[in-house]
Amino acid sequence: MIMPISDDLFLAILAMDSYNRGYDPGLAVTGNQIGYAFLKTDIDLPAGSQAASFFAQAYIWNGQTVISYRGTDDPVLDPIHGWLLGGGSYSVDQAEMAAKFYQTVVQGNDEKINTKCAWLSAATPSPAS
Amino acid sequence: MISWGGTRHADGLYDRRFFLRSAREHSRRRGGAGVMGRSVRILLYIALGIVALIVGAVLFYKGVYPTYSYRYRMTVEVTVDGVVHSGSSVIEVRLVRQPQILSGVPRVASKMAGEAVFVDLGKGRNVIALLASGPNGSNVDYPKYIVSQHFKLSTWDDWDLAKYSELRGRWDLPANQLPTFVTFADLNDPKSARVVSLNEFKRVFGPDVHLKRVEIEMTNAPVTLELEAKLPWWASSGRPAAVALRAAHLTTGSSIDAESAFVRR
Repeated sequence: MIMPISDDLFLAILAMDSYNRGYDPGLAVTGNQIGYAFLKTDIDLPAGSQAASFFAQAYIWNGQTVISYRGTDDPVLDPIHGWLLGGGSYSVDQAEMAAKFYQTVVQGNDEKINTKCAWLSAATPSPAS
Repeated sequence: MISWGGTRHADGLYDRRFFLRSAREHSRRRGGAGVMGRSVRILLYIALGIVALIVGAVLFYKGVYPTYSYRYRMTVEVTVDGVVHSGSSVIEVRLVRQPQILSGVPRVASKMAGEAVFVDLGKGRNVIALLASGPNGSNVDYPKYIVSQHFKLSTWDDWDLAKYSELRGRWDLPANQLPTFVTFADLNDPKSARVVSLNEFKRVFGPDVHLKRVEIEMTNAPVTLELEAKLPWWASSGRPAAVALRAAHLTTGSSIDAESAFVRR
């Protein structure tokens, strides 16, 4: 018997999944699919991503594009390159990289995009065209 | 009541020399120099205390969360018309114990520095062993686990971590642990990159060209930084490394920044 799960729960799973893809994954997972979501492997990470502890993963899910951004997984680099965003400084590396990644995904993409911040917790998607 | 004893002139201003002399005399009478000296000493002690606290905290942190590092040399040997052409690179891996301040933070972070291995095959031919493995070059942490896989050591257990710096030996990588190879038809053009799988060496480079072996040797030699000089496009604008990986139909750039497939610092 297949148990249906809510969209919010699945988006939360995608939020966690960004920690298990790319460099320094929490879990070693293989394949380009999770549930009915397919990883977009044609999106390049911005230059200097690893040095700034930045990682994002884009998915195609139910005709929508979903972007999952990793939260804190490096106690040294993330406070330097990301936490200042919480203090209102937009020009920190991770904020600029997140914007660049979003722009790369959006370019030539007519589908709806859900952006969400992966803090190892469920987040309500906010569809944007 | 303080009397400065200055001489007031006709214009209503006090003579500066009298003012300073009077101030010094007053300070001496009231023991001001002593008070000043004590204040300076107290400030000095406070500053020294702060420095000692910082140094102590750093030493304590390093003691509780040590870093274990090791280096290895990867040598790629290709036989061309019976002659062995080789290239090598020294890679450093650092295993850093760290506090798990959030659930997403691993107990041990693995960092690395090094570069891909470039082999000049002559007659304008070249092959590069990337810092990634797999047919799509998507296993970007591959260089971090070559040694741990060979010695069957974990990268999280404290007992195993302590062994890394003492490891010695030399071995050939089996076929299923080889890096992803790429070649550039024109070294000046990143768009000329393509992947070369193990059984494609002859077809791509010539009938008498084959990969002899990829050797790993534990070493203390410094990390090599020579690749950028061998890739004329490296410093060009427009992220040529990403262009090269896409031209070779590799997905490495979605797993790590494309430049890190060639060089990591």
